This record gives sequence, C-alpha cells and structure tokens, in this order.
Amino acid sequence: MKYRDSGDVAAWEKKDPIGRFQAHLKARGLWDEAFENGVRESAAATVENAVAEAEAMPSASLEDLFAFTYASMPPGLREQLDEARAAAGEDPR
Amino acid sequence: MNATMAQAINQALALELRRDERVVLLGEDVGKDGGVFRVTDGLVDAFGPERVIDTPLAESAAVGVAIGMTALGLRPIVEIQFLGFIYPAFNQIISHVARLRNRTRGRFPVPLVIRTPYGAGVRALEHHSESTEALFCHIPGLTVAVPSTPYDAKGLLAAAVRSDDPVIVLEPTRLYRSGRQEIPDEAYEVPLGRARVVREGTDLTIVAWGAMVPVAEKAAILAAEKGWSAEILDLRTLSPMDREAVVGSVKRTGRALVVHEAAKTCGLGAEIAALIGETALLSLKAPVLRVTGWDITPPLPKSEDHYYPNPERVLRSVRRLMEF
Repeated sequence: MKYRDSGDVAAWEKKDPIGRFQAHLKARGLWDEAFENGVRESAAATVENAVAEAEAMPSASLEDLFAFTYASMPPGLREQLDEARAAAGEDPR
Repeated sequence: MNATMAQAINQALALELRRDERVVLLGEDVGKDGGVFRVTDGLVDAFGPERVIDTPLAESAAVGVAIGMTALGLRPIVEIQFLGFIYPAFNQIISHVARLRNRTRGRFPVPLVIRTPYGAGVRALEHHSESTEALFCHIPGLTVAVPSTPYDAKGLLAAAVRSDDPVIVLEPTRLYRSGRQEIPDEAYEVPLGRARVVREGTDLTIVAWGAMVPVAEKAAILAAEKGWSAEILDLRTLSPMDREAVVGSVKRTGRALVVHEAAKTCGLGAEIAALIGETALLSLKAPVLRVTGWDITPPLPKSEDHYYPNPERVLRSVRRLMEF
C-alpha cells in the first residue's frame, strides 16, 4: 500500500457498506445468484459499451486543437494552424 | 556504469546526499514511493526520512519550507512532480527564491534546487506535458538547466546542488529511459552556463535543448543527405545562457535555427534570435528561424504528435534557411 497500512485497509474492508448491504438483502431473502449475475452482467456491459464508444471517437482534428484557444483565432495562430496542416500533410485551407 | 537518465539522476542525488550532510530532498512521493518516475528510488532507505522527506500535495509549501531551510544553512532539493504542477509555487519562486539574495544584499543566498520533469511525448494528461522554461528564464536570479543525456543530467545536477544560487533543473520526461550512456560511477560536475557542441557543422547552427536535441540530431542526418552540414548546440543551461557559444557558432555558419517544444510566442527562441541579431547580424545569410510547439495548450495524448517539433519539420526550416 502506497499511503496506508494494509492493517488499516483490512479493518475498513470488514465495514464495506456494499458487502454489508448484500448480506442484509440475503438475510431477508431479497438476493439470489441469478439476481447477482444479472447485476454483474449489466454493469460490465455498461462499462464495455462506454469504452467502445470512447475508443470509436475520431481523433481531434488539427483545427480542433487550435480552435478553443481564443474566442476567435488571431491571424498569427491561423498561420500556425496552416503550417501544422502542411507539416501533417493536410492541404492548407 | 551504463545508465538511463533516470538512473543517472538517482545516482547524482545519492552522491550529493552522501557528500554533504546539508543536502536534503523533499517533494511529493519522493520517499516511500521512490518518485513517480522512480528517480528517487531507494533514497529514503539509504538516508532516512529526515533527509528524504515526503511532503503533502502542496508545491507552494514545499518550496516555501525549502527557502527556510536555506536560511538555516541547508541545501534542499525540491522535486515538483511535473512542471505543470509548479504554478502553485510561483509566488514562492518569483517573490522569494529568485530575489532573496538581492533583497538581503547578499546575506541570504538561496542555494536551492528545484528539479522537475517537463515536456511532451509520453502520452500524458493535461498539465503533464508543459515546456514553460521561458517563464523561469525571464526571472532575474534564477538559473535554469536542462540536460539531454544521462552524463549531463548527472553532472548538471551535481553543479546545481553545489551552486550558491537557486537552480531549476528541467528533466525531459521523454528522455528518462529512452537511451543509455556510459557514465562515471563517481561524482562529477558539468558546469552551469556552458553549451555543448553535439555535432560540428559548417552551413547552419541548430540551437536546441532537452528532448529537442535528439530531434535536431535526426534532422541533421536528413540534412546531411541533402548536402547541408548542420552544427548542433545543446544549450544545457538556458539562463544564464552561453552567449559566446551561440554567437561564435552562428558567426561561423551564417545561419541559425532554434528548435524548442515550448510555444513560439515569447519562447526562448525569440531571445536567441534577438541575441544573434544584436551581435552577429552581418554574419547572417538568412533570417534566424524557429521550429517550436504551436501557441496552443499542449494537446491530449492522441494528438500530441502534432504538437512538438519532429525531424521533418526541422528539415523544412533547414531547407528554408539553405534556399533563402
């Protein structure tokens, strides 16, 4: 552990509210394996879909890298953008 | 030993801590964790928590405490985790570190080292890719050093620790582990204020530092294929600058190109161009050119390759100089 003693972490893990809530639901007959699998699968799917969506995002365009520096692009910065485009093999405007 | 830059710096820190009991190291995660780039690995075990001090996430406090240490005779080395994290400490650095010697008419010098990784090229997040060296070069009283090799990293840091002035050592993140070099095991100094000729040439002078030195070297090889002979100067200390080295080289070659990854406007390239204009105008066969980062916030990882200079961009400007 980088910042905490492992003993401290173990002590607090026993008080983990998620585990305690699960035990509470089980004791009241409100939790079974099928429900748990469903929750896990839907949570994993949500995360995986979000990752896929993020990875499918196109890279920012060169214009995009420059466009939000000022409310409107100063002429000198516009010249640099054209130079960046030429360096990247894009046609200058 | 055969060392990466990170290992060379670790060795310099260990040697200085051993050599001089006034030397102490402080910063975020420098102790138990050994530093975010492992640069301080093992030092707290070797020298103890009174000399290798983990600080809270408070850059201003770390630098402020270090100023107090210098007043009591210590020689602290503060690590700032990334150059982009240094801004909370600006008031301490500019208002006190840089001018306490002057304010006290020399009675309280500030023999303090601030070392920090800087620059783009490691696919990092916002605030982890900055190259704002010009901000510090603009402040009288600060010395600013930037190594580009393991040998220079070790020697410049030793010189910085032994200097009676505050020295900011900027360590190019991209070069921490990109190569190895045979360096002496023992301590040695690379003098502050002295540039290094990386490659001799006759047609133009390329001035670079830090992570742009290897970029300039690759560009010089491409230029040689075109029949253009480029001399490369690694400034090593940005301020006070080795003016004689820059001017002397440009007087011989007649052409100058500055390569830095910082934004162009008010970057150090402007100062170098002005220096050459003031001292070597009649030697020039072409205007001084700059290849730099764009005047934008350093982009996020996917786009950073578009930001800092590459050998092809440098070669385009070499061509402009040679065909002027």
